[in-house]
Amino acid sequence: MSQTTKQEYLSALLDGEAGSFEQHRLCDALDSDTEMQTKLANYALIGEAMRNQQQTARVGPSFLAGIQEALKDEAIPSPELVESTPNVIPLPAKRKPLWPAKVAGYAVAASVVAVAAVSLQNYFTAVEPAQTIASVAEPAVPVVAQAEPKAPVVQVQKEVAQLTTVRASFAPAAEPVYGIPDAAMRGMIDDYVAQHFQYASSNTLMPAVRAVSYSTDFR
Amino acid sequence: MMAPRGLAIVLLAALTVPVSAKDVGMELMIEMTDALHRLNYSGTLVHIKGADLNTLRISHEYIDGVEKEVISSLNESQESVSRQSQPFSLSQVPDSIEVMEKVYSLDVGTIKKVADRQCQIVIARPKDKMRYLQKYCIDSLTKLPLAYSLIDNNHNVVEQFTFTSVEISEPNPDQLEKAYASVASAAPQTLLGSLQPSGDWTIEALPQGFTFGKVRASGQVGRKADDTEHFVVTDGLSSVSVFISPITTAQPENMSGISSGALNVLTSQKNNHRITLVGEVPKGTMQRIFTGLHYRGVN
Repeated sequence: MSQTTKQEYLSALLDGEAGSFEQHRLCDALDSDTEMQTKLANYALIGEAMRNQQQTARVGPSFLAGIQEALKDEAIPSPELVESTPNVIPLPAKRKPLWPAKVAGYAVAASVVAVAAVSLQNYFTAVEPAQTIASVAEPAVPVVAQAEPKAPVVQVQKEVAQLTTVRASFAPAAEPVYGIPDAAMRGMIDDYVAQHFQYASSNTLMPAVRAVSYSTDFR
Repeated sequence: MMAPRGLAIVLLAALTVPVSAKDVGMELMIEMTDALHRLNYSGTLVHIKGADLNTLRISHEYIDGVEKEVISSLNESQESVSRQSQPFSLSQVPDSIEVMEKVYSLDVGTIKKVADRQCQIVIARPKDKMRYLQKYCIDSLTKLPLAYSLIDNNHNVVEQFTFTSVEISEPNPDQLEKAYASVASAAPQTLLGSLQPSGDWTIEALPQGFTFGKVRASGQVGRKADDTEHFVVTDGLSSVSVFISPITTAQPENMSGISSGALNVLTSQKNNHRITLVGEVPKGTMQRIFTGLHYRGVN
């Protein structure tokens, strides 16, 4: 499957437009193709974000609550003791893990939430660069308040907010806007370009090719 | 116990001096630069810049010991460039290569076929975002570049050319001997050394890997009749010309620019001078050079 075809089929699958044959074929491909799995996850996330663009707050609680609910049902492994018999040498009992499984679970949940938040942020950056930081970071606080989440989730939300702040401080400066030179300026530029090509012959491959090609531009 | 054959392989592997892709790539780049100037070749090549395609006819040969190159556009019948170059000497190469190694890593790729000839892919991969990735397909037999492309940070091809047909031959030995004889006599005057801005201007913190370029004696680089100053900065593969001229009449202080494939031109003002930068580097790099320019003179 070519890259374009893969993307088209995945898109069709998510839109419910793939036929049963394509669905089976895609499911088979998804079993082994990690790149496709990632793409599908990304598309699903983007789709979800688009559907809930105006209701970002709704995504958070249900998403977090779902994770917490799943973690609640997670069985905590208990050490199994083997009775000592003359033919069986008992292994030392498993040490109780330093961090309970739930904490590990919360760490995973934290990663998922952080990734989801950053992905959403990236998505909105592409759409509306000027409003990115505010639109993603702000709704995070009401979400916490509504769902009354447990401490680790609050911590995650804080970390996401910190990530957002760090990201904001690294936001690239706006690119300068370049105007189009007028006719007089163009004459001067053409002269400079010719001189550059003359000099650049020791550095740049086949400068004369560029010189001829440049002279046919902007007509 | 290890079989004698296995032992021989191990010994052979231990004795063989490892040759890195970088060394092979560097060697190919030097041979390519030499081939571009030394060989006689003629053919048709396609030059693509974004959505624009230009078909060109090129011929390069030695006439009376002088390197002569004629390039004409097949799209625009009247457009052609003819130029005679000073004989080329490989002594010009090492400086560029040394500079280049700091900011590009060289990779050797697969063998491809261009214009019905086998060529070796060599990639000069930039170590930062200050320059374009350069990809060559170098003729396996003669080392002439048969295809060349410049790729930006977003993996977009900003410019490429490729021969669709080409005839390559060794020049007449007499012609080459004549040319090399003139190189030997002209060598001390060929390059003048690094030319930096005059006392009125200075550049603080050039982008990584860029240095002031050496100037050909035949070129008109330096201070010109109209008081325009011209100097060049280069990273060994790409160069940027900086032109500074005093402004005598009031002009709007806006920054303007044009692009033609990999070539960018920016022009703006600083301390009553017009600054124009021309080069095959991303606009951001030119902006950085412009920002680093400082006036030390009196307005």
